[in-house]
Amino acid sequence: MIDKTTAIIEFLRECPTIKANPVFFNFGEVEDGTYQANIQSDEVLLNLHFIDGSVLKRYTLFLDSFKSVSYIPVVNGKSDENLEGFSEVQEVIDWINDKSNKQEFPDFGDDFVIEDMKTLTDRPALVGVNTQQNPPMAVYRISIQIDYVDLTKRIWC
Amino acid sequence: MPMNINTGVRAARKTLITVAEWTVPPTDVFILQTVAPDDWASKYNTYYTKVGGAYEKVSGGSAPEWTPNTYYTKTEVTTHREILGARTEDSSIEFNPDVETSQDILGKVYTDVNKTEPQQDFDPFYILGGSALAEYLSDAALENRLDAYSGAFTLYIIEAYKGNTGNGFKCVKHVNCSIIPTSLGGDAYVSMPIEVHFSNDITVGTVDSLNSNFVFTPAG
Repeated sequence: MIDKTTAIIEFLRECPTIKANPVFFNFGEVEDGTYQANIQSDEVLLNLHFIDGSVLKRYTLFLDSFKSVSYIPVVNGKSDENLEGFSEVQEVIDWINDKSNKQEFPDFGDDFVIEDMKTLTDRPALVGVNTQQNPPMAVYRISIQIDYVDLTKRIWC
Repeated sequence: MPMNINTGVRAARKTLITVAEWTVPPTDVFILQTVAPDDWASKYNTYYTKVGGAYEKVSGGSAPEWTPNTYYTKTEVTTHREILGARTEDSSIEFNPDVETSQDILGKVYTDVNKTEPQQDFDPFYILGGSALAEYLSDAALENRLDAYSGAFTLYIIEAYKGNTGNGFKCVKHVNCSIIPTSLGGDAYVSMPIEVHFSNDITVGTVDSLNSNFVFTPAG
């Protein structure tokens, strides 16, 4: 059976914006440009049973993007480091939603059918700035939700 | 036929299975081959390749080198079977008995059941990729071809909680049944709720397996 977390991370690594940067899972170095995937164990929250034995489940994963912070103001429409960082994370959101529209999903294996994949916000969520670091580090969060049908409990095959 | 569940344990809903069977004009089905078939060297010219969107027979004087996921077999399909209830949360067979009661002068009540009209509704019945039934019924409904679904189905009700793989599972077969699409649409996903009307033209028997290739054997 394919591990779903591994499948999602492998899938995300295809994203051009992420590809060149380190991706950590749950723990990792907090540096400019790194990404960290954090799982949320909420598969039981959506556990919709169908009469053929299949079950609709939900998998949620947070992808945190770390961007160094600049204190230089935006002047005359010129973008600064903060705007560039934000835009880069926005590209990841757009890439995920574009893939979903094309029904190109992570590979969960033959026993699972992905019905929907989406980001829970249209814009990156700024969840905090670590001012203890030098340079200070902003954390942008992308929440990715995947609804899939688990076919393993069917007796009709 | 004995039940196969432990005493006091409820039968899982998935063990009551309704399967629809219908026939269509012969349709070619191409199946991609993942491993080299035994007859590749001698029968290579009975296989197909996909060129653009079309399937073409393998040609040439000798068998080309085998490549996985490249060649197809062709099968002519006329009969389809499909389990009903994928993505449906709740569905029951309603027997719809026509009951007549009378009371004598002593106050006793007499009940007569004149007939039953078994029916099972599936709502939602989503249009799912790969569902031959959804494809067939949505075409029939939109083109108003009533004869495509009126009396056009054989239905099997399989009680998978009775029997086993070796001896078969209890099955009741109804012929000349109707599956009626009642609407088409919905919100986020396209749904086509259906009414399944059983004919009561019944043959009792068993099926040897729990998949679309089962063999139905009438009870002796």
